Amino acid sequence: MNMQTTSFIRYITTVFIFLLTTHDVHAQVSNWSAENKEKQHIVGTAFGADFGVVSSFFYGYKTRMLKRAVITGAEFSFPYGEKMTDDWKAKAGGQIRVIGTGPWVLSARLQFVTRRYQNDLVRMFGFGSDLALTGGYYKRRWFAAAEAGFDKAIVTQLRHTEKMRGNYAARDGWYMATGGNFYYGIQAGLHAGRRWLFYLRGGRVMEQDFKHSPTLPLYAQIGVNRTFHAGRK
Amino acid sequence: MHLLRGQGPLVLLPKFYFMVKKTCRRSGHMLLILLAAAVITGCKTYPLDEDGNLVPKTVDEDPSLPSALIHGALLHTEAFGTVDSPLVVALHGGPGSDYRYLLPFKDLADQGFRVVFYDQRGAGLSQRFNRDTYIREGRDVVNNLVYDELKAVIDHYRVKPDQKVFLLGHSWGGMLATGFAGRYPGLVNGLAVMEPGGLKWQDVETYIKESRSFKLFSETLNDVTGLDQLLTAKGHELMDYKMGLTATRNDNTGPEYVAPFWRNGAVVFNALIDMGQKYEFDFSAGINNYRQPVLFFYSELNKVYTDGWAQRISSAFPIKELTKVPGVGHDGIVTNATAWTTITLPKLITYFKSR
Repeated sequence: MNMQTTSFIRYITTVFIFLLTTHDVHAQVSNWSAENKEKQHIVGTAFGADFGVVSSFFYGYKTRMLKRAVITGAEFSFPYGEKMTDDWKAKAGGQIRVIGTGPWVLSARLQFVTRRYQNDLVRMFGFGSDLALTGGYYKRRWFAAAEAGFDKAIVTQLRHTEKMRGNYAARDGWYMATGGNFYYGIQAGLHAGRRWLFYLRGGRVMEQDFKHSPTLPLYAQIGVNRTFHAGRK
Repeated sequence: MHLLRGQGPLVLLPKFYFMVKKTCRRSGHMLLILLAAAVITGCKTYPLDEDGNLVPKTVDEDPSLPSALIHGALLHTEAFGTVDSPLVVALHGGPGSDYRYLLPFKDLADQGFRVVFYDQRGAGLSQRFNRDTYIREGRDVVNNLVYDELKAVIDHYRVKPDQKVFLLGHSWGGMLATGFAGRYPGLVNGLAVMEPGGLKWQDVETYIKESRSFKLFSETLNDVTGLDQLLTAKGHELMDYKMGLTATRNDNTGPEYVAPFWRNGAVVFNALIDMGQKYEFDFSAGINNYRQPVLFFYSELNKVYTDGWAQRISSAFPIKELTKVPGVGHDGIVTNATAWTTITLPKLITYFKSR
């Protein structure tokens, strides 16, 4: 598994470097300015707090479908730690401009999420979804927006270690609806030249029962996107 | 796959290929979704809250466990040694942990003591209660649900009025033992505590903060925080399971791997910590009236429990004897076999027999 994960990281890194140096792409944070109608490749990287101290890389493709701007893409993130490959998260999905008037735009994002988590007692591997709405003010050179979303762990496989069995022989297997977190916050970005977008993103996280908060109840991200021309509509 | 039933795989493959290719033309990630769906639909799933799946059953769910109805709660409890021997009541850490890691205390039964173990209410394998049970007690929660419970445990096992009572508490258990001795100084013939985090709430908070201050880029931090995206609060079973997973390792408090445990009590842990912050419990109240010597253990390798901290915390006891256990951390005072048999146990035997 570790070899596969390492290979996957290498693959993502290779794609990222390749696109950064040769072509054009997109992601969770994008400028939906109506003036921008070209097809784009977007690559980006971000650093911040998201259930840990995390780095992420992503690739996206911005085009138009149903007369609306749409971004489809994939994102890979991993937290820091002595074991770099035991925990990671991969998202794949799309974001669509739902409505907009002038600089005001509301977009929706739906991503399929695959996660892996491991500590000394258990290894978890799960599938889930991340659904979010983002609404804000988008100008050609900058934007500011608010976002709210729900990240659901739909099904998770638990595989316990021998150390755990020394305490209790918890049942290995797939478990349904293991968790979910709501999040809400703000994001803002600034273009540097035509192709570079620097952004900040942050907010609060609450568990799905609205009573509890995760150990790290905040998320924060600083990131940069680079777009590449991929044709015009 | 049932949609394709009746057609040979060789015929279906090209069709399937073109179907997938067409579907994924705009978004290649659809393939990931299909693969995931195949994995999920081919696997049996288990309910999270089914008793025994992730955590052992509590005494009210499993009648085969040793238990007693004490102070309105069915407690997981057992005792070793002759029934009329001096009582040594073991108090586990937490709040919310259990007495499994304290089982070496059973060695005291061979030395002529009646060793009593119990999981505090809402903890270990004892009966669970909802958060409101603790919250509605307000600032009296420790008096009404913790000290009174301990007194009821003593009453349950004490078979004669002159039977001596010794308290032996580790960590949170040491704090409770101290608070109880301060409240009932005439009832406690001897008190031994092992690294109580603090006795005044301000010290408790400092200790918790220091012992859980993980490095920003450490695996420990990631192990604690990353879990929240896959498991979120839902009933005692899942919350207890999750709490157990996050208590795996703490390099701040010692090199030992997690002490053996059955099951953590997440609700009682959160409730008592929250109420401690609100009401600022003082476990040292009245202990200045306790005029018996107190045996105070602390470990060499708990980075938070320095010599200075041990001096500070033990200063509440008018008469005390400090023992620094070398080569171990917070739990190793009990769980490290060498430390237990060569240092901790002999000290305890000498102390209890002198009382």
